[in-house]
Amino acid sequence: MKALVVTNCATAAYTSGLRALFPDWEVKGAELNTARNWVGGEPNPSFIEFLASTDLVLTAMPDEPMFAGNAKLVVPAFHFRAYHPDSFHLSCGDVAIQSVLKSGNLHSRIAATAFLLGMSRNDAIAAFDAGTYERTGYFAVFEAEKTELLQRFALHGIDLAAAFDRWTQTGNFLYTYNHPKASIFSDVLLQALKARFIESRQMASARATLATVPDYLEPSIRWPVYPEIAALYRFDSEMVWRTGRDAGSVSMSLEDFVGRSFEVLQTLSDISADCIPGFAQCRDALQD
Amino acid sequence: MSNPYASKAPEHFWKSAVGTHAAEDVSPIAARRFLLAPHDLIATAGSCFAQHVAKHLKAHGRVRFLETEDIGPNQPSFSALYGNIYTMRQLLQLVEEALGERHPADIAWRRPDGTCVDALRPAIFADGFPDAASLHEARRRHLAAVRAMLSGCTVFVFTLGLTEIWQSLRDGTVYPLAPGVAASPSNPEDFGFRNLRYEEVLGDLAQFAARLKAINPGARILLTVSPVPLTATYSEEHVLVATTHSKSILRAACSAMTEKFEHVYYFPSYEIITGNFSRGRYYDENLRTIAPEGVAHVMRVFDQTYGLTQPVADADAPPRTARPSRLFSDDDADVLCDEAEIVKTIGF
Repeated sequence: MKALVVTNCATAAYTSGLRALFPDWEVKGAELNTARNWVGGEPNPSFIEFLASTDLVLTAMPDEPMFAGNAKLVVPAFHFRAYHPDSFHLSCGDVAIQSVLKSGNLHSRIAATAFLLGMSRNDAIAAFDAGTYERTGYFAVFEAEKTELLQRFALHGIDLAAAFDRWTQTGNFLYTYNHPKASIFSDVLLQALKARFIESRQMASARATLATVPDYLEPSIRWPVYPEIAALYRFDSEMVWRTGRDAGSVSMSLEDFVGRSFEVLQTLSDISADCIPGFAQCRDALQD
Repeated sequence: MSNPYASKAPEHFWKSAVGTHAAEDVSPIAARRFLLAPHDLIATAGSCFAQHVAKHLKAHGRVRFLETEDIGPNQPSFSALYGNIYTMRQLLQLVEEALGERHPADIAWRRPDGTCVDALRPAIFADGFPDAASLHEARRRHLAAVRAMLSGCTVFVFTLGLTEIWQSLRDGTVYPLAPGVAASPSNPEDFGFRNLRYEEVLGDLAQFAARLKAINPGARILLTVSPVPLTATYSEEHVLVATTHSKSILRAACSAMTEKFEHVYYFPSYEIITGNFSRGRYYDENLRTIAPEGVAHVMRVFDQTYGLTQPVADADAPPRTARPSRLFSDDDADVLCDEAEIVKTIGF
């Protein structure tokens, strides 16, 4: 049995997970942009040959043309925004604006909106409080996000309802809104494989096997669950951002984070409200 | 004393609501209803008439139809591959099985050619299964899809078909078809006929409503009664009398459910097809199956009732979730992480 994993930042977790669960399978993985490059701009014969001969492609992007002839196991991309409602991926036009976390383009809606409104750094820092979160709607997104997450996976036969309840009982299960901890990927993979490749009675041993899979996203960036939001969900959190390992795993306080955010935003000539989803709600909250 | 009916609206009077209308203009829009929103995920199950609803919703641009299994072109059009579910007891048992609480003892029935049939969905796989093991493997996959459907839908549409059941005398399992119709069990003497009473139907409906609420608290249930008469009755009554008996119980139970549960609603497809205003022309020549004209009328009223005829911007969606509009980008699900530390390839 050959299996190919082509998805987003979950690629390594799912590839290693399949390898651990099915030692007799040949499993390889490539992140989507890399895979696209390997079938396009810089052809990789090894990848193209494996893609053509694989029995199964695990992917979040089943409509990707390169998979047209493959059997697919669809595992949607994971994101849950209720713990990190302020973070968003900032792009102006087609240009992704690098995050102050040095990697990726994750930014703060409050910081970016405050910048566009001409607020001072100190006023922007002061705006990170429960009142702003309440008025922007950050406290009201949990149920909708839960429903959306469960439905997104349920559409592909992946029932995460019980697992989700377990996750929320353990506190914060995310590094960023779309970077879950390894155990979350394991649960998702198990539920995706359940019935098709793993029987119910094998689930416990399979879960134990997946506990050996590295936490691939642990070295990457961290976005804090703002303490007032964490308190709502009954866990503790500190207002500390962290860059990824390759950028030195540097921790940032709120003051440092907002200051650096303003520095990045000042370099942009074409940033506008259109670049910030939820700008109007946040603007109204900041001006209230 | 003034006439108490004087304050009632035109739809409460036969003359103004039915008697003076062309058949196609009769619109029994339910007083107790909700409006479907574009983000709703609708699942369907039930008797054969439910497939008309499913096909309509699948083709509709304004709602999303939930399918948790790949449905082939020749397979019944529902949200998963369970085929026709004629009774709520059958559905309830499917839910219990999907949740691992029920393990039907005898579902692999043999056909004369030696292949096996899943007795709980005998019409799904035309070629049957080569052996019981492959049948059970397929059923395991199916049950996962049923769980996903139950937890994923925001609206569950169920069409009640009849009250007559065939069940195992060993474990109470209810089958959609009588033993011997599509295949035969190894021990036919272990099966028996029953005609469910009103209290039993209502009890099954109430149990299902409670189960779904526990699994998926936000989901609504939309009940309909199939207007298709019984093909045959195993009771001692004339099939016409048996049909009226079945449908009356189902119809009354639906009303009782809507009174009892806030998340349960009723849509009058039964009334639209069987109402005398159509003078019987909503049935095919056999006076049993439903003519396209009748189906179209039902779906037209369905769209009117649930807000599917309005432009999206005008749909007055109910407050089903607390999602703040415009806060998040719809593109979030498509974000490809480009953080430096992400392991991008393994094995190449």
